[in-house]
Amino acid sequence: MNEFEKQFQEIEDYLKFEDYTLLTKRIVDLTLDTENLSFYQKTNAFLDWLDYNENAIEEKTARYRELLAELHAFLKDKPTAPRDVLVSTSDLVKNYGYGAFGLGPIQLKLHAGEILGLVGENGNGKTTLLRSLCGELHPSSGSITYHFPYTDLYALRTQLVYIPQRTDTWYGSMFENLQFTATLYGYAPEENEHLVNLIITRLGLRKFKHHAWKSLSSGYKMRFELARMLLRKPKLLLIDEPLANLDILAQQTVLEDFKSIAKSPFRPIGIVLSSQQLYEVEKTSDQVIFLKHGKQKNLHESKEDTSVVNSNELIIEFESSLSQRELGELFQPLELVALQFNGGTFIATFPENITVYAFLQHSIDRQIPLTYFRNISNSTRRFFVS
Amino acid sequence: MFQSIQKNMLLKHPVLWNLRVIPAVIILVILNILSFGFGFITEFIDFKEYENNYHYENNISFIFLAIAISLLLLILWLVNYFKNNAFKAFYPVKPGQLYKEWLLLFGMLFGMSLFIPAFFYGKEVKIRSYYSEAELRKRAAILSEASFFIEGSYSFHNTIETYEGDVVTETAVAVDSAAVVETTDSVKDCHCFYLRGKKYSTGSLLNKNIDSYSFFDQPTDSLRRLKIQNWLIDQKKDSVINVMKAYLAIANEHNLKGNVTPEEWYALLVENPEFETLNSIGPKQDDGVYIQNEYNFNNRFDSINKYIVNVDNEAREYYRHYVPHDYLDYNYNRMVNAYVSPDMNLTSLLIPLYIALGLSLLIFSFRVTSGKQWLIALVVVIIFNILSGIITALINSDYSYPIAILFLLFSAYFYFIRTTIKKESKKISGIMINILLWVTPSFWMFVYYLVLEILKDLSYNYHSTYVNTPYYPTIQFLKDYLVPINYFNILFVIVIMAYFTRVIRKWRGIAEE
Repeated sequence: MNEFEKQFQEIEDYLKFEDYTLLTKRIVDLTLDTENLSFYQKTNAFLDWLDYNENAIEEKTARYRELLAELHAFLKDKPTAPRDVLVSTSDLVKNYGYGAFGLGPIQLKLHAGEILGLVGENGNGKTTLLRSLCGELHPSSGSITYHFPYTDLYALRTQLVYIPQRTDTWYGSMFENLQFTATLYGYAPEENEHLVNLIITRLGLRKFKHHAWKSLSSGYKMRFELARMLLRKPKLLLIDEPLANLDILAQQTVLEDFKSIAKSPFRPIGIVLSSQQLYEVEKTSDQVIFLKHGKQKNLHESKEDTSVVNSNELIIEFESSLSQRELGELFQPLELVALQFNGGTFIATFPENITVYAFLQHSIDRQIPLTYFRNISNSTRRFFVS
Repeated sequence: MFQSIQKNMLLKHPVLWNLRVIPAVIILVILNILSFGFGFITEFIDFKEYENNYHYENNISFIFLAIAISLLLLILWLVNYFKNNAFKAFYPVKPGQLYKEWLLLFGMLFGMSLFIPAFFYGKEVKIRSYYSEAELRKRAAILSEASFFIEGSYSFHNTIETYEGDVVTETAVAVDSAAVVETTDSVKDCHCFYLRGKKYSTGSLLNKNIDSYSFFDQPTDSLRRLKIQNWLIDQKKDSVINVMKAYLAIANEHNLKGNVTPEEWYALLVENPEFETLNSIGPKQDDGVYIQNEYNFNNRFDSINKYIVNVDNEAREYYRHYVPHDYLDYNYNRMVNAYVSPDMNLTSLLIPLYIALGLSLLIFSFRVTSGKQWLIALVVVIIFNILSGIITALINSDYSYPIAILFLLFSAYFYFIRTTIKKESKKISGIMINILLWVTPSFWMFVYYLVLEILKDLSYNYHSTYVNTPYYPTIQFLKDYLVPINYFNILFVIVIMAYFTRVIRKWRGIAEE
């Protein structure tokens, strides 16, 4: 079963479980994958019908099923895109002058269809790395290699979309802005409007297409930026703090959107995003880079690079009504290495031979009151512990 | 329909859509036609006028209005144009696309700078619309011939033969003739000249000059004058009367009156021995305020041809015999000049062209760099100019300022090119691009100025007169061809922008820091 069939099965499940919101988004994704005008028209006609027949469940389901079948028939033989390396860095260093902040050395490799999460405290080089990758900053030493063809630096930068934390204001109609982008990116006049309509539907912006930029919330501004990005067909998308100012639901939606955009079977892109939302980013990302004072930290021991070594100990984050001293005594039989109290939660470190099940069993046996628990051995969260 | 055109542009020609070309061109065409129409409607020939009374109220009001409309239009258009910047956002821009955008910008700004020229062109077209060129030429010839018989200047003679150069009123003093024809003292002393072998007094009607109109060159005027002299000597009364009749017919057509018939006119001036008479025909009835001058013998009151009339307690000199020549001469000169030397010509067109060129480069440089870099560049250019000016004043050199500007231009160019070759980071090259684009249009003009000054300085080193130096032809060439050189300069900027825009596109891809 190829990547498309796997994803298609998931989409069928959305229909089965009547998750129409996700289903509509994924149908738009499939329609975009066809790159075919008649499908653009068909899906748009269906979406228009849906606007007025939201509650006609039976007919809606039938129409969804019919459209899905047609899309499947069209796409099943379409060759999926290879997951080639898009960008790699070798000892990338960026200094802002003697004594000032310096990033790196950074080693990374990103494939098409992958999401790379950048985490770290403020001022530790996340934005510098993003700006370096999008060509805004020239490396002080080391190199960045883009593994796709481009004629000159300008042509390269048309394929790298960088969305900064503070985006520029859009002037005029949102819809016209998107149409302008689509035309410049070579979409035919007859498909332009259909395509833009699909993309704004994909990002849940159908009701906002005629709104002014200033009347939009941060979340919707971010979505419009993503809509524009989709039209730009980038090889690499670099986003700085996309989750900032978003509520928890919007964060999850945006991350889910990133995932499906990046992992399109036919049009995969590489995404690098920076965020403070560790757990959300970790859930979505294929790789996570933690930056501390500009230096890259990997999660586990690396045979190649011993400079970024961290042990493979079991690290548990939990909340309990007991005191640090009481907890220390209670976990002593598990050969507790360290117990820290950090921001209302406890971080307990155990030797490599202790498993998470042993920790849980021990807590049950000793009836230790736990109100919250997370194994952060594989999370960059552990780097935030002082 | 308008919206559908705009939508079509958005889908097919995004650069034209972003420049709002269709609405802007429609507005510009309408406003230019209105300007032309306003000029055409408000302008007219008033045969009651015989001199320029400087009624410029309409012109001044229109100029202020046109400037205000141009600025308003420019601001509104820029607000829309600046809404999207595909180049700065790294949208795909083909190598020639940036150049096309600048050319469109230049063209549209040229359209915005044309309101005032269109207004004045409308005025000129109106003046020309009174008569076709052929008809006007015919009428001007009649006026010129008739002017022989109207009060005016006489030729100055210091040679035996009449010299053709003497005939035109404006060039009546035959100074040049002295250089080519031998002067004889006897001619100077006798106040006489010879025509067809016969001696005449310089006060003879035969020595009268004629008025010239810029349709005609000096030889044509001389031949016309000679023709009249021959008619007189050959006693071709009918020919002379016909000229007078034709002249008075023209005057009559414009409701202008004289107080002589052709026969009376002829009798007063021509039917005299040796064509000598004290009678004259005035160019209008009223010759202005009478001022008694007891000390100037030559300025005594001419009681033969004039009389004094009290008008509103003011003594005025009136001609006894007159034709409305001043009225005809002034207005026909206006009409002839509208054909021969219109105000709206290739030279005056340079003004809107340079305005459009300068503005287009200012706007374009802002578009391709940033507001901050644009402002810094502006401050740098101002400070550089002040310093260059001070240094020029201190060392009192004609060369220092143009050399300083050329130095600035080349420095900006080399820094910019070095940045695009090194491909590391832009550093201050954005500021340099602004300076480069702004100073480029002055490149050839400063080179022109330098060459001219150097040649002049070299020619001053010669002891012979300026015109005899080997540099004179080149100096004269440069002066004569200043307008074509300016057009070449504009063409040069248009051509070099094709190169600059390509390099700027590549430069944009370079890292910011």
